Amino acid sequence: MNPSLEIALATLPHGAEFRFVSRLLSLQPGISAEGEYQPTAELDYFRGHFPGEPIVPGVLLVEAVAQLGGIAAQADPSISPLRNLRLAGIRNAKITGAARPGQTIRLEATVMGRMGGLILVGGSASMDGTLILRCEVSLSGQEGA
Amino acid sequence: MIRGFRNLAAGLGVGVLVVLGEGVPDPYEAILRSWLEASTHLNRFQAEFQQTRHLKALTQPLVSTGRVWFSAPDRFRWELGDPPQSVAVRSGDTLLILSPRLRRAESYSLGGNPTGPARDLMGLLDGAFPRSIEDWKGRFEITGVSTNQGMLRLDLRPRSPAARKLMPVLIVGLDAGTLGLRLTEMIMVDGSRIRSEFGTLRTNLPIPSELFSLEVDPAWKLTRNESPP
Repeated sequence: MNPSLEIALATLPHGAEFRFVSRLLSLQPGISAEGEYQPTAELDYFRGHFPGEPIVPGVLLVEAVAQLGGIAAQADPSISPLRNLRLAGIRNAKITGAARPGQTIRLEATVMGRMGGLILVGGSASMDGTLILRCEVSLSGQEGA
Repeated sequence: MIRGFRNLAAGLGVGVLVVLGEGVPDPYEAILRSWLEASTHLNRFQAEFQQTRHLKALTQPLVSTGRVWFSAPDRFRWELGDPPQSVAVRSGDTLLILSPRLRRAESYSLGGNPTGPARDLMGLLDGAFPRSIEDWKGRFEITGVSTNQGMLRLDLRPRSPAARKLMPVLIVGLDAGTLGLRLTEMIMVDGSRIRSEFGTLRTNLPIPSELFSLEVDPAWKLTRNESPP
């Protein structure tokens, strides 16, 4: 991965157990980002979701879009990063497909707007060109150093 | 009556309205549109609120509770106090203001083309849960934005000089997650502040039509006015 993309990905505050962006493919700071998530078969959640028929939970796809949107927004060179950025809301989410262990999920996130400590992100997840998620998420954080 | 009308506007928490006119930075637009989108999906709602008035003449704030009902496109009922001491009912082009303790009612026609503060305040009333961007245009400009404890706070200034004579500043608080209305605060020209904090909004539930009835008990004194307050 491009070193600058590695640095941007490293800004994700989540621990390894809760990261759903494996690779950053492109980044337009403050505007948009593209990435991938490749869930491995060893992940704990596959044992329960679902036994014998593992699929990536839809809510984790939404979380992946939120994480990618957070990377794009926090990379904005003209605005100081928000502190304690958190997922605050989900709107217009539609899950139309499922991903299985080992598959590569393509993620896209665009910063639709921001106002104070509120960021609105639109995003999607797809596999082999087939859309499996579209959603909007709002992220909220604290301004100032 | 303008004072009573001002109180009515405050109780409704109105003013939820900014417009995508001049001076609104582009990054704001998507969020404001999402807020409008959330509002326009509300055909009916009811909510309880707590109103706190900080008046210049009083050392302690006055705290009251109230309830509000709305049914699109133009019916609302607002009650302040329990039991209600002030009630306002709007249905179509008629606004009825009731004072149950005094057994008095005042009816106003909102038709025609009201001007001045009345027009601006009615605009605020309609703006509490905006139905379209056009309703908003030109009403307010955003003078400040901040986020705290999951709430997006917008500081607004009415564009109309007449509205500013009554209320130079309006603060609106939106839930950062849902963009639903959490509070409004009107700062009046004399420095008084009227803050309304809303409880959970119950949306699209049936509302008994009698709540919007304009009938007045014949034993009450009714004053009819052919123009807005």
